[in-house]
Amino acid sequence: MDSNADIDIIDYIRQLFKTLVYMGKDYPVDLGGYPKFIEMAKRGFRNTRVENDHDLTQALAKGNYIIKELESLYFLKKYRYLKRTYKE
Amino acid sequence: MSNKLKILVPVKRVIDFAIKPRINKAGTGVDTKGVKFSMNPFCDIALEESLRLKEANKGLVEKIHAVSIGPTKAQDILRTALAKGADSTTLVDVGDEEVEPLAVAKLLQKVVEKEQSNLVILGKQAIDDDSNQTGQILAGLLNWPQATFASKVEVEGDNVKVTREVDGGSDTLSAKLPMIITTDLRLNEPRYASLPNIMKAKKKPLEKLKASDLGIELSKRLKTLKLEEPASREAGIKVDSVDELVAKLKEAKAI
Repeated sequence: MDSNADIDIIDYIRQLFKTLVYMGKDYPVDLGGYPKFIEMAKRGFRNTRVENDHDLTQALAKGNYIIKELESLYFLKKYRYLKRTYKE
Repeated sequence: MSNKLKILVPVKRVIDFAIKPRINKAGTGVDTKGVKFSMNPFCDIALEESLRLKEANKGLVEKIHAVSIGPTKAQDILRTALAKGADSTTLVDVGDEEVEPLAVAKLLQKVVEKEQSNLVILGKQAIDDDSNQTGQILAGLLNWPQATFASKVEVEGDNVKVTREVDGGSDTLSAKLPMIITTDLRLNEPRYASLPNIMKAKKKPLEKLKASDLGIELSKRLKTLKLEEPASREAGIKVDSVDELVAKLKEAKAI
């Protein structure tokens, strides 16, 4: 790991992890909250085997997918709470 | 009146919706120590609507100004607003005391005059005190038309057409600017403030004021006497046979 491209990728992975940590602060308390989320994120990063470029692209795509899923999860949680409290 | 919109979005810092509030020992309020706070969801919808107006109509919106009235920590909420796309913000620091809707509306009136806003989009109510008054009182103080519980907002020149959610249907209003809109739940889907945008928002303008700077005295008109948890539901029982079930139902006068 010494070329610039590798450093860029490491930076990208680090950024991905930071984003997940930031988003984890909003992880629903009833699903375990931040501590549970951070443990899952760490385990996910540690247990992802990357042996070639294909694995790497897939792992990064999965990371970005999880970010999108979290956004929808948070939105739905909030929407359903409000609907339950104020509409029914 | 120019066509450019100067939107004012008041945002409130409230206990996060996911957290069950606990009543304090004195029974006059809720515990706020170590509790997560976030932007009131209805304010979030109001902010999102102003951002959508800006993005969908190029050149229509001159600026979006977010204002929060609350403790010093309400800065975090304003940072989120900036990260989502507000152009500038004002924090009216009133300390930890809860401010009543009338005082909030008076403060907002001053901010509207200061910022020369011609459209105020507010959340219909905050999820902590559930007053649902501020927008309406502000409309009264400013003598502006108001459209409450908006589920659709369209701007056509100086006219704003608002569809409102009413019982069993919808109600469409049209009014000339300046006006007040309060948002309902189904108006839009708020975006998420991303980490890079939160970082960038630290450089955006955040003005800090005190209530006295705006010439408003915060006097309380209401006193909270008592706060109570709702009665908890009693546990059910299991019955062994149909006969027992029938007997129990008769006992409860259900059949």
